[in-house]
Amino acid sequence: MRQPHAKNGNLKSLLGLIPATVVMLVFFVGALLLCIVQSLGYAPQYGINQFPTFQYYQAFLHDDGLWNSLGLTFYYAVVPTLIGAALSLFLSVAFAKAFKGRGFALFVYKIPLAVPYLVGVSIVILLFANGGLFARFFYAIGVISSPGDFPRFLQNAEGWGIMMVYLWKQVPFMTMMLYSNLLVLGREEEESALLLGASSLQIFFYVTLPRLMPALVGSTLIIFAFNFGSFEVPFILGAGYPNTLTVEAWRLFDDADYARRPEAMAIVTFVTFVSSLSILAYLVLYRRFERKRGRV
Amino acid sequence: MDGLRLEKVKTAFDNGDEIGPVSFYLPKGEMMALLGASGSGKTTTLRMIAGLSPLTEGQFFFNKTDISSLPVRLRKVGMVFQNFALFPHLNVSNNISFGLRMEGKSTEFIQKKLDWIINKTHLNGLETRFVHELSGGQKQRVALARTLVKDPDILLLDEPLSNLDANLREEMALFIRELQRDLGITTLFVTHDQEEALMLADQVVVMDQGNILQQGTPVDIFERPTSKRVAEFMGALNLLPGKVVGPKTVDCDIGAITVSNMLLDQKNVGDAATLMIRPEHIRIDTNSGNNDIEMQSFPAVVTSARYQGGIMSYRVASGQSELSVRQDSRVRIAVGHDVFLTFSPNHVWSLPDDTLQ
Repeated sequence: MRQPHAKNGNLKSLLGLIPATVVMLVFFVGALLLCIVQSLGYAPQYGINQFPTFQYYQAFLHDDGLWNSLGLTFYYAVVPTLIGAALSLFLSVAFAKAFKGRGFALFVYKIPLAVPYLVGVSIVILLFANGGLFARFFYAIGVISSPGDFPRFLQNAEGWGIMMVYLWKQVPFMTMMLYSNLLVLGREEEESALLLGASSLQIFFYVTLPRLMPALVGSTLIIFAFNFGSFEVPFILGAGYPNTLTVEAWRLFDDADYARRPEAMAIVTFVTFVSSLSILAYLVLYRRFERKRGRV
Repeated sequence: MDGLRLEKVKTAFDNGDEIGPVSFYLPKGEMMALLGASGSGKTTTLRMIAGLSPLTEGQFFFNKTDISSLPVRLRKVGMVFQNFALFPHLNVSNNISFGLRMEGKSTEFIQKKLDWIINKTHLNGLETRFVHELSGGQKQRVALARTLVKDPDILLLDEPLSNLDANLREEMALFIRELQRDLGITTLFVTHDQEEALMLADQVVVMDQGNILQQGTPVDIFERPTSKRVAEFMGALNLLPGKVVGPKTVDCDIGAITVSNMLLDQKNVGDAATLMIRPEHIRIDTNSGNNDIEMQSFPAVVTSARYQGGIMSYRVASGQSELSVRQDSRVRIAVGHDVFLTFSPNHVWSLPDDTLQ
């Protein structure tokens, strides 16, 4: 039979969850519902009251630029996540080993975590823009004939600037997650593999990486979801056309014609749907992989 | 001299603390226990041999070959970690064959070796199980199999029984002992448990604060400790200080005790001496009916009596001293009873002078 103090404990735990639940309901679920309702034609504040209608979804789904925008959004979400994961793996494994200056390196790598994305954007512009520090430096030493000849890293179709900002901010985050995992897991399995005759590369691929998979999947999921829905970095450093879906949504939301706002909301709802679907597919695939090797 | 020989090996930690110098010799095919309390440096010694803790001084040899300078992979040293360090993402077969696969051995060779070691370690039927599906004893056997399948020259075991339930310990201890004898592999294991060391090892090395206090057979360590610290570590609760009053006779608090070991011959009358008598070597009687002229008897009073399964554990007061006595529980004596303590001079051990402080 359950004891009365156990019931009290459960009640206390539930009460303790209320503040976080209220914040989630109001600011996340509430905002999402509002967004969906507006995308379906209920926005009396803009004089629109057609609920329920799918015309705003049809409008952007029939837009020729949709697939370009969707492709670009995926590109900005997936590529920096993959490059960041590779760099973070390297750094976390390196940090787990003893080397001179390790304490300093462990301090320095975390600095970008405390700095906002917009500061990263400013740094990239200051360094890599055609009038930036590197352009002027290479001009000064005679490598290029004018600062304007400096290769275009920002606002280009490949999105180098966007990726640099993402990596600058996200590699420390992923490194921190992987490194803390390595610390918790300890080194005995790797030492054991070494004694069994495995080389450093074999240890990494057959022992370290499989052990880090849950943390790697978790951190890449967070980064992918953030990049997929990110707005400010592609807005400032993007090429202008095509836009990512979020930038496109902002363009419509900011239009002088308020009647376009439900269409913006339809894009935001679509972004949420595609992002959730991608994450779900990723998790299903990962679970299947883990099940195949008997971990689940 | 075939076997493992350590010559003044030392290592240092990041904080500057040192372990060593450690020197000992383990004959080929024998089993040695490194015995000591936590922090005594026994696991670090194991790690030095494995190559996981770099040497700052000294070297060690196996069959006269210096293996201390070889890379870890070439030392032919296998180690079973205290928590087994099995790979959770691999099943039993893949855990065991890991080392062979990393070496690029053929599938046929791996399968042959797998069949052999799985039979040896009684792991039949568990090949496809994952680590989280195994009991503690099964994990231990997988860890052993994974190490032994590579035919190492030296087997290192870090606290091999500490992660097992009490009822499994003895079974696993016997299994390890039989396997070691069967394969004839030179084995060094670390333990903080005296019983474990005495039960398994041919040789015991007692360590404290990074140094070796004594090396010898289990009987040497248990009955003839060369220092007070070893005596205390081996559970010798009766240490009696006294003065030499005649040939092989020491006057202690409980009376004049005759000692037969030769260490006392080096002392003069009036010299200080400390005697050790193990609790299980003292007989406790309610009368002084001691007909054996070799034995000596002293009056005492029982101050506590504890039943411990097959044995009774007593504390008795004699003179100003309190002694521990352990004997068969078939005869039980109540607290407050006047008794006689009887023991043989052969069971009294005089500790060397330099360890009396």
